[in-house]
Amino acid sequence: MYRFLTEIGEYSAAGLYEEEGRSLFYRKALGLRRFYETCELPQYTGKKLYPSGAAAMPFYLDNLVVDLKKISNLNCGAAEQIKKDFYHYRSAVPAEHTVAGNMYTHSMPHYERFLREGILSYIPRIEKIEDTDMREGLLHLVKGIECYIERCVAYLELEKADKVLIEALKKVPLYPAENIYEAIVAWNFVLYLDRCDNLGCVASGLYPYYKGEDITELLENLYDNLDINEGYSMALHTDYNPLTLQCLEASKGKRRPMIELFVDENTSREVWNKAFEVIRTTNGQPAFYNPKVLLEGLKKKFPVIKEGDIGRFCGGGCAESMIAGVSNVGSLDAGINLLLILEECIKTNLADAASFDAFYRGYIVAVEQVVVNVTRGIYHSQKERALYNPLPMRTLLVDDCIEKGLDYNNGGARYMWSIINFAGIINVIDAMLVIRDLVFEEKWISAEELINKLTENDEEFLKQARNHHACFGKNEVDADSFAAQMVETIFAMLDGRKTYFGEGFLPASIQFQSQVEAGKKIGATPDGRECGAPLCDSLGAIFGKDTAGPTALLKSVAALKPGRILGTPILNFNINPDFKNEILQALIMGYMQMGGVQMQITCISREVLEEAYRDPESHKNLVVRVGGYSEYFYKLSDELKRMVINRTIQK
Amino acid sequence: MQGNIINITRYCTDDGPGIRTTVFLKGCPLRCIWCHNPESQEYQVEQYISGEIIGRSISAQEVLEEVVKDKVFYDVSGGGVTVSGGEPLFQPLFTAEILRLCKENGIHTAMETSGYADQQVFLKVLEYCDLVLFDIKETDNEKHRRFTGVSLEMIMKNLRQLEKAAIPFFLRLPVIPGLNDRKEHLLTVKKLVQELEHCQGAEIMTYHVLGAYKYERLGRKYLCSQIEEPSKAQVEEWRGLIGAK
Repeated sequence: MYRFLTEIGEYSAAGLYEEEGRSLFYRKALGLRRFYETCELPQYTGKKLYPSGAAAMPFYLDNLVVDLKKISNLNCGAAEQIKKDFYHYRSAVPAEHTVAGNMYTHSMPHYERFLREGILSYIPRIEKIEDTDMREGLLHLVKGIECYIERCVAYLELEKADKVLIEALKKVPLYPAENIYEAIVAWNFVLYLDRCDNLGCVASGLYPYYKGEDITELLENLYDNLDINEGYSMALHTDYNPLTLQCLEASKGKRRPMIELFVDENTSREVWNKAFEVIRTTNGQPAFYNPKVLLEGLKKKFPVIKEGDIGRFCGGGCAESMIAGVSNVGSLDAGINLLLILEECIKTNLADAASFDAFYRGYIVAVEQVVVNVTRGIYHSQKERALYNPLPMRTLLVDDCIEKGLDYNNGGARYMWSIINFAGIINVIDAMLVIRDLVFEEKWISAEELINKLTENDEEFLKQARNHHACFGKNEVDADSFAAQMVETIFAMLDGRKTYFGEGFLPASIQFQSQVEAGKKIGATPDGRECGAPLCDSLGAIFGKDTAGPTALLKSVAALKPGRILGTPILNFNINPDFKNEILQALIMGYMQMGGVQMQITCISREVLEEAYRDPESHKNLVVRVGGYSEYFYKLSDELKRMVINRTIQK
Repeated sequence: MQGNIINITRYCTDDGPGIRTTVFLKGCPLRCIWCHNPESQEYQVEQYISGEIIGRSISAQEVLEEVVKDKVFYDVSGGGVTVSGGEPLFQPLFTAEILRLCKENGIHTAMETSGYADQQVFLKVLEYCDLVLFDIKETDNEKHRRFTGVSLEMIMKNLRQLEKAAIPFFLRLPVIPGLNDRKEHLLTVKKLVQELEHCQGAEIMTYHVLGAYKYERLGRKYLCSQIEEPSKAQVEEWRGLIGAK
């Protein structure tokens, strides 16, 4: 295998078979080393950071660089062997409950440590690892990265690149950074080693190197690198510093990173105004986060979180709660489709239910069974992944893997909670209210008739259901209290359950863009949703139902106790561009004071959205918030575009 | 204490500072020819021709229960409740009770009024106001009577009383092209703003035709149907004349 793979130029794959008797970890690490020794170098494009542009790095989820198609064309037996040896890990989570996530893990390297200590300083730490294969594997990896950097420097010298960049790369990230330029060069380089997933806490991480410089342009370069590689997020905490403002400034008009700006009663006018300037560039940045509820909540849920760590919270991916540099968090491990479960219950139980209470209890039992199956599936998947999917690069980049001598997927990271998404929460609330009122209390329609109407996708009935007086989002006591107790009952099902690593589960409401696919499998539902239509995309009301204004909507959402949904509870909020800063600030802070956790705001008029829908070329830079992330409007599917347009836009 | 209202609207940002809830009372002694809320003129609960009910009876306590829902937003924004209409002073006891209950619950109170009421009534209600939005529709008495159906005299006396009461207030000017957009009128308002120490400023309420359809629904004729909405430039010119920021 080794000779064949070397002959066809698949050096990284060849590395996997160079020493076949060694562990999977070692072989993957050696494969990565061979990749870095032989890979095509990223093109120098004149930017101040290198690499810049599209990455050609190993995909981080399995740390393998193998062109299976090419190998299969030349020798399909070899391809099958590689698959058998390295690709046989499979998720055990039930497929219908993987809305927005299926044993997926975002990552965040410990950037600050690389800046402070340099990669070569990791060698003495690695040499203390008892497991020979892991120790030697990581030493190979460090060697590979060292070689890669030397090759990059030689290439840049040939290209007569910027001397300052070359000098910086001769130093970082192998050695500690000593100034802000070296720090951001190192940050960018490590980002690429991690396949450009998340940026972590840039402002606080770079601040120790700051001496009054304006690095806005460099930050824009960094953001563009993250964006072109479909990377995600970055956090700005309340330890604001001048780089906080520069980070915000650099994000104007940009799709990525998704910026998580923590705000509280002490946030200065300067930070608020800068944030609103960015909001007005209609890219949905930043989202606003509540440190009191989110960070205190996490500390209470996981008392093991060290005091010094909580200030490095960064929602990875869309917004999944993790601590930068020290986490292997399920992001997302599963996505329970609550509306799918309701559909099943309607078909099997509704006609025989003696009362609404009986039907509702039956639904709760069904959800609990799914929770059991899903958490069990996660447990087994983690166990299998620990055995069959070591990740040497993440083991190097994330603490405390080296200290523990454990691979990233085998319990090495400091924090390893699992996050489960819950999809269709608001659809279920509204559907239940319709069932309760129309079938059982007002007896306006029988259970059988309701089932028939849904099966037939009856427009008249669905319109009536959509206009039902009791629904979520208008701050009505009855609807809100029903919603709150249902949500609490469901999320409490995760309490006490443990992952394979003995850690807990966090619920989340993060749909990414999965609400479209998730809805396709479901027929018409009593909340007025048509057959195949998307599920609700956040904790906000179903489109058009929040008719009592934004304060009523926020009160309804607050009634759900978002602080219970620590994985994070996304709230999409649309506002007209003529908003007043102090009013939007008051809406955000009022929501936070009521226990709100997160708000992401798209500032756009319906006219512009409709125009962009009709003529995509006219608004190619238009970025909107979807699910939990931001995306170019023109890139969205037709269903997602209509979904964004149909959202209520507050004045 | 019961009263008749049109509705209670949460998240109002143009009826005083911050985020507010506005209570729109039913009934008004004026009959401004440009009124874009004709359904608020009659006190009694009535119907559109279609049968849709306009207004409802409600207690001051019930109003408070609705208004207090957004207290967290009032507190963070410097907002509160505004009693408007119609004309709040047309139901003075009801208005005073709403405002009193709100103040008792730590809610900032504002009243939007034409100022057309008996002076004692006005002063009594003022006791519970933190802020007043005082409408000035015309500064020429003869024209005022023609456009609104009532004299300016009582209104101006109440304006002086408001100043004496040392309660902050804004002057609100509905400006209708061809009717009260005279330079002379606007400069008179400017002078008032400068003279009255507790006047925080003057605001133009731009004429619009959005309410015209309601007259048809009530089976009435809209007397300003020929008037077009002013241009942005015109509105800016008016704002410049009154010294609005």
